[in-house]
Amino acid sequence: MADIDYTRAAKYFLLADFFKGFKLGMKYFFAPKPTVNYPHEKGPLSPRFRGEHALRRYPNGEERCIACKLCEAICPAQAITIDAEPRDDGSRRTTRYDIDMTKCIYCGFCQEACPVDAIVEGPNFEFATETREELFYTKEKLLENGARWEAEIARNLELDAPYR
Amino acid sequence: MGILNTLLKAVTWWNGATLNTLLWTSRHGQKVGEDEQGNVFYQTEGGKRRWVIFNGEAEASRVSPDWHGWLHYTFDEPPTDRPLVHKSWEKPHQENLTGTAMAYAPAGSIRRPDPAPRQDYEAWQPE
Repeated sequence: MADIDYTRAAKYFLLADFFKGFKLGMKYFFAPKPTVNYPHEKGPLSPRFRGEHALRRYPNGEERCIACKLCEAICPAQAITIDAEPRDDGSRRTTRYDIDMTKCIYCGFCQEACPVDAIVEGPNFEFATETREELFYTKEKLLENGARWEAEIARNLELDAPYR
Repeated sequence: MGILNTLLKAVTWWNGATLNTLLWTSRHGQKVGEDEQGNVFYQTEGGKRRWVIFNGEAEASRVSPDWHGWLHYTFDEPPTDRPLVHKSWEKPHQENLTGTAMAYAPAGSIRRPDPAPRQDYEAWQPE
């Protein structure tokens, strides 16, 4: 006559495992939900959030980038391409500033390297595209991003300034 | 159009908001403000949850930089209390236009009427 484990048998017949699983399910059914109702509701972002790139301008409208190529040098993914020429008034500016957003890893080294705060990673992350070529940003696109997002970029830099 | 719009709002999720979202908004929503596109921003008592009811298509990138930071909990003062500083050369906000005819195309894109010629290689030509 084999030994019978009566505790285990009782659990088996009283559906203990079933109720244990049901209890766990009910626990999370009544728990507060961490999901958000996107696109109406969105998740929290830090002022340091590194999203879509933008080239900023000075308050008088002059573009900041002086084509020092520090961002191009530091970019670990080598996503940035810069060509430069002196402008008619003698100041050094870029003739070409391309970022391949398909290569970019959003490390933020470009904005750390920039001596004039020209290239920044803005707060926008909703720039997904349907084609690959739309992610090959040129200088015009980056300056336009700067013109559209400047208000919030400036506020975020102001909020982060005490910690830098 | 009035009846069609109401019907569209009731049966589609991408026009305005779904019925349940509107019910939640009417029960818990305190109106915080409205942007120039007509999107209305709400929060719960105390501002623990913040959300937007879009005026038209529920497209997340339609939130302008003015409200973007508040909606993302980056700062607590809505632009109605503490407006963001705008410069004269800024352009109006634009939603993500991908998939439309107005989407961004780089200079060499064949979606442009006059794509820039390739410079990084010479195409092979038959004799």
